[in-house]
Amino acid sequence: MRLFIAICVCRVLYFIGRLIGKGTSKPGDIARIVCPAVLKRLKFDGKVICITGTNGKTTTSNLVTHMLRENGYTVINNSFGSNMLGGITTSLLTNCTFGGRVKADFSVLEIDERWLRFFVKEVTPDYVLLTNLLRDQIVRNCCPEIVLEKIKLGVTPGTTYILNANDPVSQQVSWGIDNPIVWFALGENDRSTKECRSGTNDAKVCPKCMHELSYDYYHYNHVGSFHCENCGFETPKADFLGHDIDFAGGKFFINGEETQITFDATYFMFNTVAAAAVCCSASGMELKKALASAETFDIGVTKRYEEITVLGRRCQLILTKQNPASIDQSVDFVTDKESPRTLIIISNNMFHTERKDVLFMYDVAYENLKDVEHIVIVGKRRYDMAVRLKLGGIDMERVQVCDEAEGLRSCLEKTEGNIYVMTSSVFSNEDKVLEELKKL
Amino acid sequence: MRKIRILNLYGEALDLNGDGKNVTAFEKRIAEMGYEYETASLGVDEEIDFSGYDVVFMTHGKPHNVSALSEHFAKYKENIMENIENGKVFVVTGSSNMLLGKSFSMLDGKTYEGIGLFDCTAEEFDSLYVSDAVLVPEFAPEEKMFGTYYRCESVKYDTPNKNPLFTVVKADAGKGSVGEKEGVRHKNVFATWCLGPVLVRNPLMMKEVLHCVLGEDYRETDFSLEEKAVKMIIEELI
Repeated sequence: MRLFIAICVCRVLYFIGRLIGKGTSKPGDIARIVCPAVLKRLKFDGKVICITGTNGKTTTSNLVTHMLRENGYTVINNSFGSNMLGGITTSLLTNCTFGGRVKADFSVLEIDERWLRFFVKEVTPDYVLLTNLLRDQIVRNCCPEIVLEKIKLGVTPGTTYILNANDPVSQQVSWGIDNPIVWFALGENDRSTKECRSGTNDAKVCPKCMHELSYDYYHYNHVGSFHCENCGFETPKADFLGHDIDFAGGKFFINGEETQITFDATYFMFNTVAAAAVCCSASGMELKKALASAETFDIGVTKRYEEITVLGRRCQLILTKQNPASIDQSVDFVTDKESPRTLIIISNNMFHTERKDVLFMYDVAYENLKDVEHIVIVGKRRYDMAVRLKLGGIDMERVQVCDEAEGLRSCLEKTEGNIYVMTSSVFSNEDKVLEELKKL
Repeated sequence: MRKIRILNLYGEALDLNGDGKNVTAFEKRIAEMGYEYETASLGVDEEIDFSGYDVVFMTHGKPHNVSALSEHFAKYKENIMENIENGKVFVVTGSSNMLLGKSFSMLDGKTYEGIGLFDCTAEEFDSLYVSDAVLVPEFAPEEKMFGTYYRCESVKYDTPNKNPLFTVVKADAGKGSVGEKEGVRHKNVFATWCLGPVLVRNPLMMKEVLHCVLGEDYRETDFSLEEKAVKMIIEELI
């Protein structure tokens, strides 16, 4: 009876919430009060797939959902809800019968990497995909190994783990467990580097013996092909390998099957290989069919790289998270563009907490901006960003610090070329900067 | 021309939250002053003689890495103590401090030995203390600095800390908080649980360390941008 009431309460609150534009966590949170550990009482007809990790979990979840649906499977997911317990509960309770039966072939659930261990106390997933573990939100996570420990606390017997073979941190999930492991990886390509170009590398030393870890190549940060000459720790052989990447031709291969590059970014190719590993392992679908469906997926690029016109010039907004890997990718996005370029960096305090430490900017390779012709810095931590750029060897003659959003026009009039706006936050008119830009 | 020899001890293993940039900033100042420098980043597969360096940096690292390094570090206890007593400059930030205390225990239940320079022990806990802080350094009691603490260890002194590096003017309370006095200044050892780019963002401390290393060879360089940035933060915090 409690389960039935919890489902009803959740649905009513979810419906009201949608009408008034409220979030999707609360209905699930309240349902959990009505019926504690409510997820434990659900009956899943199909398989449960959890997708977690630092970066790429939303895109990969959406991609897996798309690929499964395109191949005729019924799928529920939490794409409309938060990725913590409340949001996931809302997603499941609004997609089950009143008797608590989840009829879909697959439940594809994106889960915050710190919350997986709580979810698995109620539901044993059939598959867990860990996209990667990178430095992120140090206020919550401290370092990737702390998150790793939390994930290891949630290892459940019988669950198949799909792990990134190129990531020496997430590889450690496989240590000391008997669960089946499926490895995915991306091979060396034109964008791989012999030296780490990113601001951080969380595996400079071997996690087993602390001796220097050697890399054959890097994709980004500590993700690449590695081995330890002291103890033999190394990149495991991949079950699903992306290879022969032809950026110019817009195609690459996974285990010998050709597929198109639908979004030209290394991290998205990782997402595609990971999604293929999930779909083929969980449903038994042919790789060829999985990849054909991946080619029709819309990543939603316009949302992440919105374009506006500023002073008659093309202006592209680049959404980043406050994590070094995400910002490094945005730095590369700008440096790959044609000269001359003007980059606006909105530098503010930490999200939510308004803390002023902004340490993450020291984990980003802003040094790579050295050839960008013009840089304008705005935001509360603008002078801290200027200090960071100066330390990175950026020619400070190219850098303008703009004290007021209203002063942007005069700063931009001294610059030329396309404009790129890098903001470490969602586009919520930070410091009126975006509002001001749109007026110009 | 004078050449400054810098040791970034365990620089590969201890480099969290931008701490390694303290070494970069120090190198740049040395170069701006017209001196040469040479930096060694040594790890567990190397033999170390601390007397061969003008300054030693030990930066903040992951708890797992700090504990894994403790055995190697302890091998050099006598060499380190001797160099410290002879005035060697050490800059120690964040979790590296655990290696200088008596011992530290981790969540896995294991206890690791430090070299016992400081009369304290540390214990890892399963959460994170985070705080911005305004600090008054003992070497410039009329001035203020900005600090950041991210700590998942609580520290206990067996005897009162007689040589704190900072008076903490403002910081958040909570488990793992640092109290009213923080850090240690012992001879030329600057040890603080502040982490991140402490020297980059605080010209006061950078200048003090440079003075200690260079003595009469210290030369003025332009810190105006860094001073403006840190002043802005301190004004917002107070």
